[in-house]
Amino acid sequence: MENWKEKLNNKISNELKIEINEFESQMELMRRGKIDPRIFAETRLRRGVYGQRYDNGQRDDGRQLRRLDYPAGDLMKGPDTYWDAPGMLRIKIPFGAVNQEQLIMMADLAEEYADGVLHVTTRQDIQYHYVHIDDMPDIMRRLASVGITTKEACGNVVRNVTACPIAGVCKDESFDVTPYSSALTEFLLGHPDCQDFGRKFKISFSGCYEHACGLVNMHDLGVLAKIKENNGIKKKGFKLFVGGGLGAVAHPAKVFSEFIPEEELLPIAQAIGRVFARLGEKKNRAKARVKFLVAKLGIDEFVKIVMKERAILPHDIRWISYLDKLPAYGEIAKHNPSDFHEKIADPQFNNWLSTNIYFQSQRGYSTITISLPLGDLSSHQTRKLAEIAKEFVGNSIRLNVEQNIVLRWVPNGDLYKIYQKLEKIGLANPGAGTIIDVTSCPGTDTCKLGIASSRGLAGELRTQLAIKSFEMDEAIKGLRIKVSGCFNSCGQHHIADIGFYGNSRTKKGFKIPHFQVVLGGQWNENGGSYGMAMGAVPSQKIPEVVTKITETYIKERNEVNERFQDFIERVGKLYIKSLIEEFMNIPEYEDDKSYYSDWGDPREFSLKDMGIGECAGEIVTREEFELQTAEREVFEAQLEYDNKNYILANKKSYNAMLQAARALIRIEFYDVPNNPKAIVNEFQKRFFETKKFYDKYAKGKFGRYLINRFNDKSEIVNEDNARQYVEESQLFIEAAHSCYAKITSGEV
Amino acid sequence: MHKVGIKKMISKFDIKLEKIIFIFHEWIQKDIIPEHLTIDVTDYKHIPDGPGIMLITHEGNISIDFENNQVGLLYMRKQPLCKTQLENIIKIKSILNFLVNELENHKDLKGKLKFKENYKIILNDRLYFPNNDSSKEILISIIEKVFQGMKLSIINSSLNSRLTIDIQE
Repeated sequence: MENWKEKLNNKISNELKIEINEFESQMELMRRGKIDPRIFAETRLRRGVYGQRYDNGQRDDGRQLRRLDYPAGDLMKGPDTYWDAPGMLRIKIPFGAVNQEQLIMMADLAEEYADGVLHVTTRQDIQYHYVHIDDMPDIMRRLASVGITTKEACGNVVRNVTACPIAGVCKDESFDVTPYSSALTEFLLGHPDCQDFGRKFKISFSGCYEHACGLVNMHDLGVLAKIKENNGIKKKGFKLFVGGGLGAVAHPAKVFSEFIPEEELLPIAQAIGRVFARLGEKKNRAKARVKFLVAKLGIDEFVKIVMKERAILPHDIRWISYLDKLPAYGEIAKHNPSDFHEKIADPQFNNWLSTNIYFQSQRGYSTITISLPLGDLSSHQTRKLAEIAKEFVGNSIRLNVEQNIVLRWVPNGDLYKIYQKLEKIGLANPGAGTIIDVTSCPGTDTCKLGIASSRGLAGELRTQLAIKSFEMDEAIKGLRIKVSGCFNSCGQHHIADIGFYGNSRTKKGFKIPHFQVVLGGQWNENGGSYGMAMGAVPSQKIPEVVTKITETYIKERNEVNERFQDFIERVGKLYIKSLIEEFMNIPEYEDDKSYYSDWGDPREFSLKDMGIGECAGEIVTREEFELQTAEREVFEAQLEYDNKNYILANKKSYNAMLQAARALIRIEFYDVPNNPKAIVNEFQKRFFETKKFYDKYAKGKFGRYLINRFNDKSEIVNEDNARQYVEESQLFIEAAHSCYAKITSGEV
Repeated sequence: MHKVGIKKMISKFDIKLEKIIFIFHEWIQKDIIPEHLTIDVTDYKHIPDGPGIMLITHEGNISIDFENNQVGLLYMRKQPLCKTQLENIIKIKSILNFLVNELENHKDLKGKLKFKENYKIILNDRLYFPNNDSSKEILISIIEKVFQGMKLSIINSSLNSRLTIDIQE
């Protein structure tokens, strides 16, 4: 019977085909217990395959801690992570740009393999939850058939490159950053210099400084479009920021350079990658982001080291080849521009119009924001949305970091028509970018690190605030609320006017879900400043805290124009704390049990469901990865041999040895060329002749397998010698593992 | 070929949707569904056209589903079940009716929630059962055996949607 692999064979690029097949082989190796679970975990993370709450085989059902006996028994997909447990798949959407065909495919996959819901993340990705790992290769193939990869969506690599969702249509931008973010995405995807990080690395692009757009101030690498004028000649380039980041310890970014010309963007990013891989922390994951390296070295020293690295980088034609195509870049509107003249007597529409429309720099067009409650939409809505996009805007669709979708190039004359169509499928919610458009990370719903129900709280706030929104003061309406389920800030609470992150308190042995109140963060100016923690309040009381703070702000602001951030700074932490103190009291368990459970979850609150997070990935060195790749290749060689494909078996077993040798050489010579002659020469010089590769009993026997194979020019491959090659390769790889262990333990 | 969903339509829904969250958690605590590993409850009531409240089990997802503004209880099978498609559909129908019975007779829902003999069958597998004439022919011949005497009609709601058949008394 046909399968997706065969059916889509002609629709997937060779590169993706190979990568997905390799992942499938690694899954098979894991099933057979031939991979270290730690390495497999990082391998799957780098393909976007993430763990999910309850994958450690237990769940607190509100009465007792229950074992979840998954049918595959003790088969694991990572440390403390059961194979059969439902997991998450993160789909990378560079700068949030999707087309209709991709939307339809993602809708199909959500209903066939997940729970029928697509979740838009705060990094312009799409996530599926409750997916079985066995289904991942087919999902990846079907995504690949429409040009999507999940490669490096998680793990200690360059994550999805985000960009301003209105780039190219914005009235305030210096220029459109889209083609640059696309070029950098392609350049760094799988780049050898970005495979050995101690933690993830996040990049964002913004077209202007004033607005939130790309939030360059909170990224590992923030890229801000800038035009420099010299003697009347305008030159495109970027202001670069490094070392920003939220998380438990928030760091505002430092300016790396006031201006780099456009042709320097890719090489400098590469050099930063190299420096981060070489000098970044690897053991202590809590200190392994680039922000800590910048803080440790100081920005001046960091810049100096990076520029020194930049100067010695081997030239790469891709650094500038994309620049020639830039003049031709641009989205083409599906319809001619038109003006919006009519007075429509539809209050709902007018309300939507006041918050969800951005009039583009191109006259006669608008970008509309589809506000998604909690970033979710159903597969059914997604398919209908693709039809609406087809009719009005073609492929001009983007996801934004506020978990919404934008449709660009809508002719102004079509605004009412498109509103009516969106309204029919429940996607015409007003209030985009206002206080009711609450952002939230997954929290305790699906995240292993979640402490409190961020989605539950966000949903409740959205519901309550939407009811009040018609009579709300404009100054309140313009505030932003963001919620994280723990201190890690995936909900970006630091840069919200009103932010919350989950924690817990205990009273007489009972746990109570709480949220820390963080006020005064700045969304504008690219996440310009971070809010201050004011105190933890029981989760059930947070809606009242929001009311109290916003009402006080309106009542006590100095003048009508005093910004919320300025108000918070002026009145100070002590005063704010005195306002919210009345909500901090917790009744006895027997008097009011509602405090002791979380939003939308009737179970008594506990922390027993928390697990080990995978956000930080596993610390796996590049050498360990390459040795694992060699393992996979020799395993595939064995399969080819079993299928009587002796020539392929020979080729793969030889490649496996080369791969293992290269992994070892890289410890001493990072830029070893990837060709057999160079690898064998270096191996001989550095490991064979120095006896580092020697076995206590077999001496140089295993090393000679590689050298002999390189020197053997005979082209005859038969069943007997193919078998010998595969066996020799297996022994060589075992010896390489042993040599690596000796080197890392300091034995040789 | 096990990936099939059956939705039984609800004629009376006089409860707050939140109540279903409590009941699904209770089902996990009491482990009431035979041959199912119950895992968690998800709340999607904020999606107007979505799965409402969903009970995730290893074997299948169970939800109060609102697609196309038609409320019903949907059981969507995820793991292999029987050898033939006919047996699959018979078994999935029986699991669904077990769940329907549990809901209708729940002490907090009695008289407030009622189902009708209307179903929707969804073939949730575009590889083995693409939405084409050949799949329709196979599916209809099976459904006629399982739902004898009922009226069948094909639903084609949108581009690339799954093969779905509406079954009415």
